[in-house]
Amino acid sequence: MNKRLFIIPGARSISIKSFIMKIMISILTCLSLSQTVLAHGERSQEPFLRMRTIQWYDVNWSKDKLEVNDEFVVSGKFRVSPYWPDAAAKPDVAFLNISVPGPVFVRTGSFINGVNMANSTSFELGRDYEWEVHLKARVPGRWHVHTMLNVKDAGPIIGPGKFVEITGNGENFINEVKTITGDTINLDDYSLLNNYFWHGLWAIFGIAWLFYWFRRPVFFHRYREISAGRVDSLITRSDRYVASAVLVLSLTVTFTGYHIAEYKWPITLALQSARANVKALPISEQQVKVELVRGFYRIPGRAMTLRLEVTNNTESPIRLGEFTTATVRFINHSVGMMDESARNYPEHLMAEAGLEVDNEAPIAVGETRLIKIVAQDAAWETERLASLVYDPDSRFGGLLFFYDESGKRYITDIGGVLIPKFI
Amino acid sequence: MKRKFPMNNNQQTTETSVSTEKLQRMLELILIPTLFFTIIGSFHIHFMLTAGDWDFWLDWKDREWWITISPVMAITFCSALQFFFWKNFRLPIGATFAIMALLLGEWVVRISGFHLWSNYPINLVTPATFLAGALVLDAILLLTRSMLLTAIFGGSLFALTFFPSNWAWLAAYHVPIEFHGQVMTAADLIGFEYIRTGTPEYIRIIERGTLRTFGQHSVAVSSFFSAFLCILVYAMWWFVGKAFATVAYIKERI
Repeated sequence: MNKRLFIIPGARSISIKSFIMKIMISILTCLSLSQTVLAHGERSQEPFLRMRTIQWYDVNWSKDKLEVNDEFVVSGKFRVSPYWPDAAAKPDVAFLNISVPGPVFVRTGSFINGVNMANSTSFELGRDYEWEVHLKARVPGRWHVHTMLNVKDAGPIIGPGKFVEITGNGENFINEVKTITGDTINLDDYSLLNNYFWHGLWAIFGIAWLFYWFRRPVFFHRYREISAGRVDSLITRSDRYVASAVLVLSLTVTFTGYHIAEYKWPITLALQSARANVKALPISEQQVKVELVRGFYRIPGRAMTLRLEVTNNTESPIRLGEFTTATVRFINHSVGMMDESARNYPEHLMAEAGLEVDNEAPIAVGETRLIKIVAQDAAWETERLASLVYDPDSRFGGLLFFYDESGKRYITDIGGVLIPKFI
Repeated sequence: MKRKFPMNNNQQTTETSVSTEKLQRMLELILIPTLFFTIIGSFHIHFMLTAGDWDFWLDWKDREWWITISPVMAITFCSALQFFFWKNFRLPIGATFAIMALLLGEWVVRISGFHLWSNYPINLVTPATFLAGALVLDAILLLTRSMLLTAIFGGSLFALTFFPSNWAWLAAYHVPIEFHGQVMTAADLIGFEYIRTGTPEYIRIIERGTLRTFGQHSVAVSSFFSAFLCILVYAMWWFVGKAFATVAYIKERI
C-alpha cells in the first residue's frame, strides 16, 4: 500500500503520518496562541453610536460573586441623548436587554421607571430613565455582564460591562413559577417529556414508513422496471392498503393528540405581544445651561478639549465633577463627589488622569462662565473612540455632572462638532 | 470456496445475477444514508434561512406567522423529493424522507448547538414536527398517483395537520402566567427569562392583532391560507425537483 498522500511529479511527496503531524502541530500552535473571547465586542461599535445615543450612568452591579440560584440586580439610569445621530433609527421601539453569554443567568425581571419591561417600549430624546434588571445565576463560570438597549433598526447599544462569577453546581438550578391556573412549573424543563413523546411517536411512524420501502431493493431494480415500462408492477395491493392505513393513522393521531392537549390544558392564551408605555423621569426646573463653544480632539495626546459656556440656573454654587461619554468616565477628583459610585465601576472605563478643569472655583448662582475642560486618557484609543474624527459626521455627545456643596447633582447634555488636531 | 466441477452457463448466469443484486443492494445501502445526509444539509439550511426563527424559538410559535410560513417552507423539499423518488423509482417516500432528514438535522443542532453549547433549555428550542403532513402527503401520492391531486389534497392536508399535530406538545406552553403584573404565556416567559442578546422582544414576528377581523379564529385562517399556498408551492417545487433530477452532463443512460 502506498502511504504517500500526494505524489506530484518533480515534487517531494508527503506521507500521511507527516501530513497529520503537521496539521496537529498547526492546530496546537493556534490554540496555544489564541485568547479566550469573554467580552461582547462592545469596542467594535462605531464611536458615534456609543457617544450620541444612550448615555449610561449610575450603573451598579449588586454582586460580583454568587452561587447558582442566587439573584442579583444590575441597575442604573440612562439619558437618551438629544444629539441622537440621523444615521441611527430613533428609539421609537426599544427593548431593555442584558448582554451575557447566553442564558448563564435567567432574567427574572426588568423594569424601567418601575414598569415591567418584558415588552418593548419607546423613549423620548433628552430624557432620563431609571432601570433595573434582575438576574438569577444558572451556569457556573465567570461571565461578562453588560447593560444593553436594543433599538429597532439601530441595533444593540451596549453599556458598561463587568465580570460576575457564579459558583456551585448548575444541576441544582431551579426556575419555578406559578401559573394563573395554580400549577407550579419549573421553566427549565417544563413539559419536556411531552415534547419528546410526540416527536418520538411521529419519528417512529416516519421510520416505519421508510423501512417499509427500504427493506426491499429500491433504486436499481425499480429504475430498471420503470425504464422497461413495467410501472404498475412496482406498487402492489398491499402497498395501497398500507398507504391507506398510514393516511388514516396520521390523521387520527393528529386529531387525537390535539384533543388530548385541549383536555390537559383547557386554558391557554395566544403569545403576548403588547408594547409597554413608560413615562420619562421628571425634568428638574433648575438646570445648568451649557453651550459648546469649541471642541477639539488632539490625536497624538489622546485628549479631548472642550470650551464651554456654563450658566448656573440652580440655587447654589456648582462645580463640574464629571464628564462621561460612551461609558468612559472622566472624573474631576478635586470635587470628590463621585468616588463612591466610581468604586464599583469597571476599572478600564475609568479614565486614570481624570478630568482637568481650568477654573475650579464654584460657579455662582446666575453666573455665566467660560471654562475649558480637558479629558485626556488612553481610553480614547483603547475603547476605540478616537476614530470618531475620521467619521463622515465628526460629532460627539456626552453628559456633564455638576455638583453643589451639599452633593446635589445636576446633569446636562453636551454635544456638537469635534475638530481633530493631527499634530 | 473451491468447486469440484466446472459450472455450466446457466449456473454462471445465476451466480452472476445474484452477486450483481448483492452488489446493487450494498450500493443502495450506501446511497440511502448518503442521500439522507445530503438532504439534512441542504433542507436544514433552506428551512433555517426561510423559517428559522419561528422554528428555533418557542415564543415565535404563534397563531399567525408560524402556522402560515412553516408548512409553506417545509413542503418545498418534500415536493422536490417526491418527484425524484416517484418518477424514477415509484417510491412514495419523498416527503417523509425529507422531513425525517430535516428533523434529525434540527434535533442534532438544537441539542448540541443550542442546549449543550449555548445553555438554552430544550423546551425553548424544540423544533416543530411536520411528520403528520409528510406521511399524509406520501400516502396521497401513492393512492392518487397524481401530482395535481397530491398538490391539492396532500398540500392542503400538509398545512392543515401542522398546527394540530404540534399543538399536542405546544399547548402546555400557552398556559397563562402573571408576571410582575402582566399576563404572559409560559412560552413568552421562557423566551424572556432565557436571555437572547441578539433577539430582542420587538424582533419577534408574531401575531399582533393583525387578524382582528377574524376574532379568535387566527389558527383556522392561517392554516387555510397556508394550505392554499402549500398547493401552489408544492406544484412549483415538483418542477424544481424535476430540474435537479435531470442528468445534464452524462449522455449515456445507466
